[in-house]
Amino acid sequence: MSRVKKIALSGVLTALALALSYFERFIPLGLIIPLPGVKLGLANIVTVAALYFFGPLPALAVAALRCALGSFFGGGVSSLLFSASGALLSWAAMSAVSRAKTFSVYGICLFGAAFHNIGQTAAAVLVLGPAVIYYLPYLLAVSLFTGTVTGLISSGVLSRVKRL
Amino acid sequence: MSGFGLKFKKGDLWAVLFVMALIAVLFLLFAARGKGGCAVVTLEGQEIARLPLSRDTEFSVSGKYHAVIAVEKGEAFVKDSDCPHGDCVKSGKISKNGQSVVCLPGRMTVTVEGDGVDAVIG
Ligand SMILES: [Zn+2]
Repeated sequence: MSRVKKIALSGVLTALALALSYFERFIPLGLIIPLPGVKLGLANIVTVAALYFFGPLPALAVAALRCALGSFFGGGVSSLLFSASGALLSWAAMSAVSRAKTFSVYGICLFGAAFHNIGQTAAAVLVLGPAVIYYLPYLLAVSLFTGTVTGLISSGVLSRVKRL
Repeated sequence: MSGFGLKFKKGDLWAVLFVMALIAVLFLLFAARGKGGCAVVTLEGQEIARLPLSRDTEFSVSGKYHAVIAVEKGEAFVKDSDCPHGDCVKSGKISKNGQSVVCLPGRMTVTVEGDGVDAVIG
């Protein structure tokens, strides 16, 4: 794949990630699971796709751009802190385990979801104080569910697209 | 192409096991906590009040949103809040050490802590 095509497709993926994280606001997961900051993590699917097609560094660029633009369009600085810490830790974990042949896209998404919550909790500890750390085990339990869902979607989408 | 598989593998269960182990460790770490002495209220990361659980009381918080924190029968809870969704009100009552209620939009936390010496003063 040419460099230009890679950059262009990364831009498309970034736009897709932005759209998904906006769309996600309308899924009221917080009503079923009354925990602060509970999300399905649909935008993570795009990070997984970038990881699958392009590798770790373009995936990082897509995730970072999504957070930056997301906060520019409607979040502000503290939302940037939350989304960036979650997205970056999730990216790091997924990149690390994507090299191990042990895991398929499901395992990668599970790690991604778990570390997304760890990153967000770390940001929440900084902003709100140490009390929020007690939410982490509950958020991790939820991440088993959300990670499986994003794994399912990623598996379905990627095996249909296969190559760009 | 990093070329990871798209079909579920047995190895993925290690990911599940890893997360479950992490949950278990955190629960064990947090389990060693008894009944708490007072509810500590923070706003924007700053402590603004310590409410002893031994005495029924109400406390108003005026941050970005207005909230009322109450202590009744040894339990603390967010009684009322005009924050969006009101998740903090739905979170329920807390009384054990380390338990907390968080209001994400209001940047407010209520955490139960052990009996400090200063809890008597409140
Ligand atoms: Zn609230």
